[in-house]
Amino acid sequence: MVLRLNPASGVPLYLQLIEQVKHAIETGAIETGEQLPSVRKMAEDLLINPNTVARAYRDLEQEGIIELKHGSGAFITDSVTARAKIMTKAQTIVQSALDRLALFDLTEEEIRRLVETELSSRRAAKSPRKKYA
Amino acid sequence: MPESVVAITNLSRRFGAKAALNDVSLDVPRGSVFGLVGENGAGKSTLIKHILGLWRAETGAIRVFGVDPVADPVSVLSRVGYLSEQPDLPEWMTVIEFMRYMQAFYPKWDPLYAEELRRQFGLDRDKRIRVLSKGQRAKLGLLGAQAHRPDLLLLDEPSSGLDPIVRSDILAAVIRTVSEEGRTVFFSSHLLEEIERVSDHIAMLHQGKLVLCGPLDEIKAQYRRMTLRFETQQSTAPAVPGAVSVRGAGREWTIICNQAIKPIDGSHVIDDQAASLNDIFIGIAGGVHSLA
Amino acid sequence: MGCIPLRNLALIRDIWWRHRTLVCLLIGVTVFTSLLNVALPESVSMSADNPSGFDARDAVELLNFHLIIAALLLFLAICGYTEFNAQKGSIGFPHRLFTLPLSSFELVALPMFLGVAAAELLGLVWRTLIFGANLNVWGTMLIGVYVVVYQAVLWTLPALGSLRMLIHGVVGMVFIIALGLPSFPQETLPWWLREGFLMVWLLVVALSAFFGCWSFVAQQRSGGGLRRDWIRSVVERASDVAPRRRKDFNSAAAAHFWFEWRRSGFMLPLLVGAMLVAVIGPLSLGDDGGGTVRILIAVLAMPMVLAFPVGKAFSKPDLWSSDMSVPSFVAVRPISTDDLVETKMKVAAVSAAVSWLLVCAFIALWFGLWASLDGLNMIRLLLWAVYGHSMYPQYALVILSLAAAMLMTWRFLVSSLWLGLSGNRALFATTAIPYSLAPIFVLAFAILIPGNEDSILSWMYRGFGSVLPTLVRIAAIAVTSKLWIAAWSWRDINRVRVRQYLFLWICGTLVLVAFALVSWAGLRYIVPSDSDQLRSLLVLCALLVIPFARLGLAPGSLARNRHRL
Repeated sequence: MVLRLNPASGVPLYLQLIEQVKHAIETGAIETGEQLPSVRKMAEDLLINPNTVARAYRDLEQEGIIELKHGSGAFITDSVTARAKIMTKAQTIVQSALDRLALFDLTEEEIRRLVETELSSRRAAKSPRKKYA
Repeated sequence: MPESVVAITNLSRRFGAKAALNDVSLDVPRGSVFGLVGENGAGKSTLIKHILGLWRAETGAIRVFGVDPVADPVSVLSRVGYLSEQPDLPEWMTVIEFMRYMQAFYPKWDPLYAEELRRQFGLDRDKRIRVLSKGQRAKLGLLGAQAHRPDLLLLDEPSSGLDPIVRSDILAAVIRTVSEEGRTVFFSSHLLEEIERVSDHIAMLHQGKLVLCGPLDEIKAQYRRMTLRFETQQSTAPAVPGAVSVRGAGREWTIICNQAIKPIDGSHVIDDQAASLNDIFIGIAGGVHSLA
Repeated sequence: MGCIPLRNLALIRDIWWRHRTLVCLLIGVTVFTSLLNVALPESVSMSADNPSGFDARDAVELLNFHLIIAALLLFLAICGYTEFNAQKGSIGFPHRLFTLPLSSFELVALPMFLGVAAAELLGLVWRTLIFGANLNVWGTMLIGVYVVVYQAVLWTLPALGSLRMLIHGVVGMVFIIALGLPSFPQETLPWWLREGFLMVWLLVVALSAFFGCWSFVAQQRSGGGLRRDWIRSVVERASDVAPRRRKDFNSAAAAHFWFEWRRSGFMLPLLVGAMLVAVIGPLSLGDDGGGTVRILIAVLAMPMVLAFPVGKAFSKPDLWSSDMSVPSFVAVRPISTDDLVETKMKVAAVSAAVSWLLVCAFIALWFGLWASLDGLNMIRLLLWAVYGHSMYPQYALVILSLAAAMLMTWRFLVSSLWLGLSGNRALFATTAIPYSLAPIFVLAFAILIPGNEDSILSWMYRGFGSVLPTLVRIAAIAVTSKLWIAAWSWRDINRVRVRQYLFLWICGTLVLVAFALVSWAGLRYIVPSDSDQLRSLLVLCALLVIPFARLGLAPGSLARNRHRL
């Protein structure tokens, strides 16, 4: 499992870490029952504050993705597999959407921008600040 | 847990007409990694020298572990590990002599740990410090600052001018220190990426003044980076109430703000996201200039 | 030169900008003195027939003398053109100029040319306007060459630090002698010092100083290389030979003692050893008995004479650095300021002891193996005459004088600690001035004494008796104030430490008092004065020798330096 964080982006590191662990599960890089590195090991590998790792692990536990066993570490729970199946389905939808977009002869960069603009406008629509606009 | 390792109240220092530190107050909580940022000459080193007792507080007070570092240097310094940008190491010593010399000063020095670090850093026991490279000197300085497992690790611009490998060794030392219960790290850097990686508290100095201080998460949650699109071309920066800095040209302007702001008439928000530390830093350091 | 390129003007502007205050001050002093002398002489010289000795004319001359010294110091400060180079940690040719778009030749030649021109101009102004005298070609040339040599010494020997002052003193002395050479009776001089040859000498000196300087600066500019700090590196190599530390230290104090010893303590023994091997040894081998007494005196005086300048450097927080502040490596160690001072004092004691051990070992070898002891008979006779035929007073005298010499050596090493540790550069530099003047005094004595021995001795015989009561009074006041200041300066220091040092001071002072009394027993037959008063004077001086009040100030001044109070 290779995790890569980017502190320069505005996204807090613990959120990035959560995303990456989820992604690793979805792509099958880690499987059910496997163990994640300890907080300290993870912090030293990624060169981030151990508190950040601990916080990400806590959130992952609350989401039911991992199970913290005292003294022996963090394990991926069984329920994750169900989620992974949904994600596989979603991935086929994305694939077909991209196939259709290919007809417009768009570059990769343009597609990414379109997706991100759409996501960010939805995020803005959800946020309470919208009402001032 | 909430007790503070370093407590600074209303510290000011002038060098001639220039105020190097202007009424700075901050607390470094036990067990935290406290990052100090600021542009060159903002007073970071001066602040750290005050914590070490290398400068006496002109006005205000400094307490490290509850003690004045000038009045009782021995009790403070024996619990501190210090590494500066250019470690002032005695060139004529060999690596092993340096380690023995340091060991004599710190009752808590761990010879096994020191030896482990020396191997890990690839430092030859019998080499004179004079012939070590800059990176090796930094590593040796780090060894000296770390091997007595200090309660407070003070790093003054530790990684400037060093290659990425030494930089990651330094960050690893920070993490190792703070992983052990109760140890605190205070470090200054202008590499914001490093600060953002490892610190949980940050403070920002700007022209000797403390402009930002608190838990990193809170600060990052508070500051936002918004992009406004105006209906008409703006020839000068629009005045946005509550903004820290306003940058841009024409119809699109990017605003760094530390609260929710109302877009002024004739504009709408096209982007709104959490500001990175870099945005905040440039916003404050640059923004104050342009608005002044 | 035709037209001076603009970039050279930039360098000239830099020189002007750096020294503008001093230059203005120098011009001010010169103008003031000129005006004073142009306006005054007529009216003042009217009263010159005042027979009482000191009159207005003398006052003006005294004033002139002081002003010219001030102008001279200002000029030397300006044309030195040195800066602290942080990278090398020494004061020398400003390295920041290396990045200017100028050739190294221009970098060196321009300040030198300006220096020489300014010196000649200044010399002309002072001579014509103030003294109304004229200097010959020889003198004019000497001034120019001296400036070149002065700058060359400052720029090419940065590793020597403040020791360059000593070289300046010697060089200045040589030039002052040289100034008088043409007026010496030519036939008494060897052929290579006659008038025609002197110009050649001068040319050789000036050119070699300039080219040496040029090549040195060029080398520094392109990264230095091995030669840059060869003096320092030689000393460092020498100190690297010292046994490496193979064991752990027992305490922080022990570790720091080792640090100080390796850093500064070994300096005096090293110098003493080098002198014994390189100078005294060969001299003693070539001696046939005639010079034994003189060599013995030189051997015995040498550690103390060397301790004088070494002590000045030793008193700084770091012997090798021209930066006067406490090195941050030491400042952040958990060791109290009092302990730092105590370590310095201990290192000085060991340094003095080892030096004297070397001297004693040398004397033992010398006397045992190759000395012709006949030369010492005179001393033996003198001792017999004074102390009688019993050997005990002689043994006592030898032991006491060795102890006293060791104490004196230690005293020279530690007496200026309170100045050096304070980090106050101005104070330190001011107190260093006497050191650079010392060669001039030596020269003055060397010139005055031969031929005048009789008159000086007779002055001693006549004068000493009448001055003695005053000297005793002054010494008494000095002792009283010393003790008062000591009581004040030690007030903040830990009781245990005060008691320890007080004990040591009393022991050392008792040794010195004993030495004073024993030597008084002999001196009273030689010095024709009131023997009671002589005894009081010697005892009072013995009380003054070992520093007390000043050492009490040292921890405070080091603390001020360490914490920038």
